[in-house]
Amino acid sequence: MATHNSQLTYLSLAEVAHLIAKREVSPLEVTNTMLDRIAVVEPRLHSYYTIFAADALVAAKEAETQIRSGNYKGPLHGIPVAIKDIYEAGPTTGGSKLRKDYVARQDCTSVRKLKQAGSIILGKLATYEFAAGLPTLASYFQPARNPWNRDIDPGGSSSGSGAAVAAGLAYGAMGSDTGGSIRWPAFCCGIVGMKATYGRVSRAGVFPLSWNLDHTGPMTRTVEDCALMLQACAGYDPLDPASADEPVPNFSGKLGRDIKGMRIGIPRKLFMENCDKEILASFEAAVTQMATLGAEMRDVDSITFGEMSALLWPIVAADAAAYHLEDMKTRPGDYNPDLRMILAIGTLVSATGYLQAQRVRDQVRRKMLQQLETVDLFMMPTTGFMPGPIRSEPPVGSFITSDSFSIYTPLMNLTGFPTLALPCGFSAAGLPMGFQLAGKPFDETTVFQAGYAYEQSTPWHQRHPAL
Amino acid sequence: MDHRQIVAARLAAVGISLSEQELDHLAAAYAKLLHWESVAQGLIQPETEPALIFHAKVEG
Repeated sequence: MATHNSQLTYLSLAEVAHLIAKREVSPLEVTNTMLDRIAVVEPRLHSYYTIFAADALVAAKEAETQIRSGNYKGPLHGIPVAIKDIYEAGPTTGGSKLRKDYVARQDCTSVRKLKQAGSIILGKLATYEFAAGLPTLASYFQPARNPWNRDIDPGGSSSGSGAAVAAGLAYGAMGSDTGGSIRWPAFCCGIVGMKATYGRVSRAGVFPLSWNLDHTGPMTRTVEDCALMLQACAGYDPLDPASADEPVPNFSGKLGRDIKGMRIGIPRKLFMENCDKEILASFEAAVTQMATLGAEMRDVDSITFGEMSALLWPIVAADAAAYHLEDMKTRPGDYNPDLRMILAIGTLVSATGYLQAQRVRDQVRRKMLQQLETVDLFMMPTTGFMPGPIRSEPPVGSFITSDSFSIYTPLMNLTGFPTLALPCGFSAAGLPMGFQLAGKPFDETTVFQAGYAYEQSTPWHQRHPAL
Repeated sequence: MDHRQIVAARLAAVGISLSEQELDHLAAAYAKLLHWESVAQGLIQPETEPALIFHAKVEG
């Protein structure tokens, strides 16, 4: 049976994989569907920097041949995905004028693993500059647009990953997350993103922002798809010094199990001071839904938003400044103003201030590990503010020092715990909203279980932007 | 020295040159940085320090 192209667009990765496995659609048909849609939609979305059309078609034909000859590799085989442009693979700009002509000599570990699993790499996706600096209409690389409203920021820094997946221009994408850069665009674009446990997914060949806090991981339209994509890219990699030599479980293994009796802690102190009322209402509805599904919801203690920010930003800014110092000395004008400001702030962080932040970070992590002896998961809003219009000018100073940047994702960068972001409703203006579930280190499987139970009991993942 | 002078001196020390307007913005950011450092300092729990744990456990 040949499935009409438009019917393929918003199928989940798992659904397309099922059709490919049964040979009801071919990788070539699926890849052509994506490339055709990219050609139509992308000029209005700016989610891709580079499209590997020719290479993708070659890979799709090869996948088709392999599958026809009985060599089906698994659910990623023949599936078109795309990659944030800080992962080394072909042209890799980091969203920066500084690397506009850089071409990677070889694929980074994650891309290599995705290809080994049979994925078709469609191209490289827009990013905030070096995963941090807010792009504007004046930036060297145009900012990606939010598919739900093209005047609105899709969140970042994995902006193109969020926009492309939500718009049906890929079945999944790789993002990176240092303070929330997978989960914030997932919130803004109404999709699912997994920041797996620190060390779970290799960062080898990915431009760093903060060695201490950088995570990489998948972004998809459903929880199941996220588990499948994580399966392909997780695992020990000696090329990443922080990579964890831990067994890789079947991340889909608990999907479909109920969550009756699961204990979920809500760290209200983190978000009660500055969370937007509409977001808070959608979060409370999600809490009620989790309770309806049988989870035992309870409040747990936590640090405040202000305390979290005080630990995060000095570490991020100083780490980033260390990486970018030589370019900041010789060609500061080639950075976007926002990143230039972050990097300058990073040079001002004192050694003692940096180390105190790291000491307290360890305290926070230990305390939350203790809490995970009495709860199975944490649940909290992803962010406390709705995304604003794409800017024509950079913010004064930097967004990291702005009190209005009330994002709750960094807590789990500080702890390194696996955290899933997923949609939980829409604002009156028609923009997506979402929440996070975090679990024990290396227990992504339980996080997926709970996220899947919520997702399957609500309609949010079935909505798609009109483009 | 005020914050702006400190910022200018620190950036010069590492060889970074920015505009006057950016130095103004950085002076405000520097105040935030000092605030963050004071918040972190206030959160440190002595019982996480090995030397203090040793004294507490061994000496009572």
